[in-house]
Amino acid sequence: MTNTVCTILLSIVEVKDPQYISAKISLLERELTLTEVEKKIVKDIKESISVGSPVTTEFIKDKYSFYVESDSNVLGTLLGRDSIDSAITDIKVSQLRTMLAKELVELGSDVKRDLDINELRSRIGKLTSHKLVTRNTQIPENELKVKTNAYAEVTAEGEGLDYPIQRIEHFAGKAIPGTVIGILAFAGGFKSTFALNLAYTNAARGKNMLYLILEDTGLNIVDRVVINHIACTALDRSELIDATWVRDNKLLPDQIQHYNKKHNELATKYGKHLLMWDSAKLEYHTFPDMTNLLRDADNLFKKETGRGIDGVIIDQLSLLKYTDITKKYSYTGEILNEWVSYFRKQALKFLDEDRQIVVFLISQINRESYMEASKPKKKGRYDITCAAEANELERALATMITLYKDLDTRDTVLINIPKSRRGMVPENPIQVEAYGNYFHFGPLNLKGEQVTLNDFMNNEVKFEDLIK
Amino acid sequence: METINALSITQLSNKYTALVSGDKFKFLEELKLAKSLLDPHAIAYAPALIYSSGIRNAICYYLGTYFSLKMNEILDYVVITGRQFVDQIFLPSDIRDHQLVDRVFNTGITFIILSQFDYNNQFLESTLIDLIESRTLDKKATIILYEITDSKTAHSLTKKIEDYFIANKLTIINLVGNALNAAVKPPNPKPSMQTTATDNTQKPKNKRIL
Repeated sequence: MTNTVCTILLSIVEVKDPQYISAKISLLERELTLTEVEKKIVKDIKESISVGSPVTTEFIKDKYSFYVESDSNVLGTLLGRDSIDSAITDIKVSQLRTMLAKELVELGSDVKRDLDINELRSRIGKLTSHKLVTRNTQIPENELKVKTNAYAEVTAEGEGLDYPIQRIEHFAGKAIPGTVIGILAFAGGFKSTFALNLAYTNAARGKNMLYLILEDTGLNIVDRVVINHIACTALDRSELIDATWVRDNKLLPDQIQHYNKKHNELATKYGKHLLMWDSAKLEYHTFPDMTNLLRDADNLFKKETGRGIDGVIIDQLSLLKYTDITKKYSYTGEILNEWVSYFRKQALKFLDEDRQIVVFLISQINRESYMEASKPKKKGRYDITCAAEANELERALATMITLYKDLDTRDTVLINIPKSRRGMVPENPIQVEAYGNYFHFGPLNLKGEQVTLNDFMNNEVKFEDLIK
Repeated sequence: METINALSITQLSNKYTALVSGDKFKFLEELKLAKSLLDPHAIAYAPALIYSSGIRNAICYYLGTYFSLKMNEILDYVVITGRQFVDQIFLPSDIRDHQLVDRVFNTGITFIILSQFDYNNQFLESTLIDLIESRTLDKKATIILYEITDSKTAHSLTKKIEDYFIANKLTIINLVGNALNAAVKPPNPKPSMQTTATDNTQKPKNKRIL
């Protein structure tokens, strides 16, 4: 039997608890569309409560007999106190469906009558702005339950994605599935270099990474990954290839050969695990577009590697503000907040399946935070409010990693972790080598490039090695 | 691949290259001399008063490199004369170089170069003591390098700051002559702790005289 507003009204009154009746009547008024008669009944109930003598079901049945008797469902048993909330939700869903159906029919007939495109956009926007509620009929399972090996289950989560810098993992742990990680920096602060190192590091370890390039061409990014691959595998400084040499077409024949060899080595070894799509190849104007795109990438990985996506890198979030979502937003940050929310859902329940992935959102730092972090006392020490535009990042991110290009020391970035749900925040920013000309994050693995205090004090590294 | 407790030679070299003064080979000799005379364990990334003569840049270079390797971080530094610092502090706010003063207070290592020519302000030493106090609270090293040009007047000029170092058990190292007892190694140097005071009655472990 379908419940009706009438059943709910009578069921609420039957509870006979003035406080409860008052709360539920307010909820009813807020959530449902009421008829004139229902509004009058609500008014009577409220007045009777205000004078300290709540009306009875008999009173309503008697005074509004024409209304009650017309409702055949009411003849059945009234709802118990525990069922009233879910019955209100059911009716709300039903009312919304009816309203949507009506609006769609009206829109359909208006479209036929050559509706102006802007009006059409606005009407579609209005339609999509309806919050379609659903009622979960299944009671969720309690997560706290007896397990044979709870520790193994918790530590299995630790098998997440790696960061290009191990010291980040010392503080924040690995990037575990089901989380959104933010990588934030000011303009020119090595965001994209970090992103490509992140993609490269994980692809090299057999993880399936989708790298969505929204602000550059795929060709440029591939060139950068190749230069980084050369830097990662070089054992001698003479093997390194500077990005500016490639840009200016100044490579010598043997360097060109080396570059091509490394390019193909990269494609052969890691190509199956690293999918790089630039904005020219993408359709991401709306959330369904993005979902389709993620599904395509997932299917491609499954076909190539037998396993779906492990991580998605969005480089960078702020470019999604130009997406064509017709809902009216008062400022661009709102669109970005919606995207952050969308990716958080994807991380937790990828493609609405019971799967989790890691989403890395590359984002911009606001100017005020950059100025503050440029002061000697606070150098590189961004705080959690540093994100430009999308403040939803502060809440949704499991880990926030900030990068500050140190202008006092060449090839150096200061990494701070102002938020770490599974770890700790470092006392001071972590100083990390970052080579823009090799698109490489972290130390170079060159012979004789590293020096320790012992090497220095024992004269294994001499002043002559430092002053050349 | 990251090596824990290691730094890039190239980055270290780049960082302190501005301190390389004059002829490269002569500077290398000065560096070797500084390394042979100065036991940086005695300083332990804490305030120190060093008397030296003619090798101040080499001392700054050596300590900068040593502290960076010790802290596993290439440390920023400022080298400033005592006079320049005090002048800045007492300048009206609108013409003060705030960025410079901010760096002196907050950078990784601050080297204050003193000589008899810096003593033209009665507040010099108390201002320097304030600086040391502030930086010590932030666990940062402040090195006062007194360049001795006239050993007769040096210690009478620095008496106030020397008394402060002795009272607070901070390191005083003399690399010049017999004016003070030479460097004394602290009993238990710890990075976060203040180290040692010169004890004239104690026999120095490493007597270093230029």
